[in-house]
Amino acid sequence: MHLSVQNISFAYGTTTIMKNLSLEVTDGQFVSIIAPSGSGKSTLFYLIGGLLQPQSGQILLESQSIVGKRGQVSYMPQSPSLLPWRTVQQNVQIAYEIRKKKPALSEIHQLLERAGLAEVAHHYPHQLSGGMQQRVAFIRTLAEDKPILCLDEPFGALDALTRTKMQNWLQLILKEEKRTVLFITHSIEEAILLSDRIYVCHASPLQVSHVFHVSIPMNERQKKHQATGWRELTQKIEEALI
Amino acid sequence: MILFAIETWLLPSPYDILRETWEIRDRIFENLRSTFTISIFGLMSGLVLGVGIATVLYLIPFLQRIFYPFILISQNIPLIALAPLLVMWFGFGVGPKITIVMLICFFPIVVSTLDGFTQTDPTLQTYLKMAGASRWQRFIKLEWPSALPSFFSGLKLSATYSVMGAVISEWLGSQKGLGVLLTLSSKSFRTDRVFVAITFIVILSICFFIIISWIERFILHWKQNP
Repeated sequence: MHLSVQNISFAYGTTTIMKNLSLEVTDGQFVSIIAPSGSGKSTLFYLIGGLLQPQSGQILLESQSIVGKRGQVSYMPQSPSLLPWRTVQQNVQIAYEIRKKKPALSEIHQLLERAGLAEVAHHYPHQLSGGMQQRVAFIRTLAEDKPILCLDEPFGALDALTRTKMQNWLQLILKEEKRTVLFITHSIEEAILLSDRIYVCHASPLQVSHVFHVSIPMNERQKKHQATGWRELTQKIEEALI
Repeated sequence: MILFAIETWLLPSPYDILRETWEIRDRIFENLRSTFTISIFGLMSGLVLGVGIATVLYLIPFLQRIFYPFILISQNIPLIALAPLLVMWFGFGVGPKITIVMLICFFPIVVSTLDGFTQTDPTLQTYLKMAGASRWQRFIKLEWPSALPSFFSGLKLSATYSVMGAVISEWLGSQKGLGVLLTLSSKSFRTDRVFVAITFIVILSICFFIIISWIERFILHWKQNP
């Protein structure tokens, strides 16, 4: 699996949102994009997801153009976006229904169990906490079974404690379910904790300014500031953002 | 007990109304059945027509721009003027009466359901589009369930109108029905019977409303659980 975004430019009317933006995501990688708020990061996902079309440039998935093609990647927005009239299990089920695939209940149960959601399988979204709702949304994204997961600030709306718990949870899940992830965040700490590579972008228009490879070993990252190289990397990213 | 010395033919006491109800119970039952039949069939056909029109107009915005003004205009035609026309065209049978009720009932359903469709959460729309859902899948799995609360508000409104519509249609020429009982009693100054008819019209409306509220609570049960 290889996603290649090549020199894409996009404008809403006369406002240029991004210009000549390029990035690469290779198989099994966790790639983060850090950019200021309101810089058009979500627009980038809409372009990759086929909801919008770039004015110029190319988006390739396994060397095939996916410009304007929907349903090629899994997408998880900032808000959980669960259907309120469906239970947790039925919400995950929709990932199968869209593909016109018969929902494999055992598969769904397995996913829910692994995510610690088996007990709430028959609960409605409003009966769950914000963190739990995001877990369900993430499991649904996994169930879509697409080659790449596009996560748009999935923990942005959560409180600090829940956010830390969710980051650890995501790390655990991804250890078992090896997936390729493109992750949007505005938290440097979150990006370093989870990523193999970090793209730092400038706003208006959105452009990649720096690329960082995170070489801190996964098992050391939980120590955060105590981990070797953490402070230096944080400082470099901060400088790149300013 | 007599208060202010009001004549019974002007304002009968509740006791008189109850006694009259008991005395003409067989007639009431027969009339009620007739009004109920027209109301329920009119409401059902209004429901099918309303949901059908709302769906087509929502899915084909071009048709909505053309036909929505005509639907609005159709609601401004006085029913009292339209009803005799229908009787002239289709006769005195049950058909024109059901048509009158249907014409009254479909409008609130169209307006409320269309409103419900357009109030679908845009974040959910974005998610389903990105996931590759087809237009029909988005309609069935997202827009229609989103519109259900609004649809039920319209349906409850239509249900109460349906009984009123049935009564009006019966005025135009019928042998049975609460509308007939109402006019006959009024012409013969049987005020007690007028009140009996009014009471049963209200009861029928309330029954419709309660039944729809139950169905609503059953279908939208996910909204109830805290």
